[in-house]
Amino acid sequence: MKVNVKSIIVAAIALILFTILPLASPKLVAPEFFKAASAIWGIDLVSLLNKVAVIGFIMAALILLNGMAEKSSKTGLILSITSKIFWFIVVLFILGLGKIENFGLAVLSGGSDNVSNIVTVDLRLIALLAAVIVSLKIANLILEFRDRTSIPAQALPKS
Amino acid sequence: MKKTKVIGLSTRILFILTMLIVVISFYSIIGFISSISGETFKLNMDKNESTGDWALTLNASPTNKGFLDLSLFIELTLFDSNDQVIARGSKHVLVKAGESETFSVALNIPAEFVPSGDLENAKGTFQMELRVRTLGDLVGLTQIMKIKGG
Repeated sequence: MKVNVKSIIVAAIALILFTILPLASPKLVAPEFFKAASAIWGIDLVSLLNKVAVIGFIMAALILLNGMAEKSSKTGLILSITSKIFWFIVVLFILGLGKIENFGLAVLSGGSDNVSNIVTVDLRLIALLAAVIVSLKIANLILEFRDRTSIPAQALPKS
Repeated sequence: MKKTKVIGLSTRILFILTMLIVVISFYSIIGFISSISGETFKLNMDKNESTGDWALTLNASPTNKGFLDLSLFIELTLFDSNDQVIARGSKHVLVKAGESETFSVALNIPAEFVPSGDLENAKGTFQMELRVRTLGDLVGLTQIMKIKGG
């Protein structure tokens, strides 16, 4: 296992941007803003920021582990595949405005006593294309790994 | 060509295609939404003085500023205080890229729903559903707005 300074720096930046900042923002931003967001868009911003913080933590951990693992090793392959799946989950998180299970369907709802407004943005096609891209990337990683680890014919001992 | 190179190239092409779909679809839908105003979507209420019935008409002339055709569906529904449908009207329109389309959706509201004679203060709910879809109905946005009266 090697120590990769670049990955440590990138992981630290990811941790600050996506974990520490989202967790600290409820203390930095006026609580009225969070209440307004909930009333207008129907989004629980605090819960959303907590989810972003978890994503940031996993992202930082994966960057760090990927930097330390040997690319040609099995651990490296598993980590690379995990990273690709993780990025797909992040895409679903963004498209679904925090709801991964909606698979690209973002729902915003707000209103008052007499008026209600529900907006649904259907981006399931993008989610589907992202799934295909991730699958292709994973297939490519496996093929590249197989190419690297298979013994070339010339290198085999002659009988 | 190696398998890995073919897959790598396909992935890149698909990624660029996805980005293009996102940008073009959003541009079309947001451009359309921004064209909705009091001028392009007018709601008129007219009373038939002899029968007491009301006619609620939505006159629309939206513009599609995007590069893709837009499929637009509008449905107006009026519910009474028990959530029973009083009147419903809908329209499905295809707005071609760069063009505008004029259409109207009308609701006929019986006089018994408006005992006070004033539609704006009648008890019930007015619902407007707006569905905008593009790229062969694959990407879209739906808005359901409900206004309670009375």
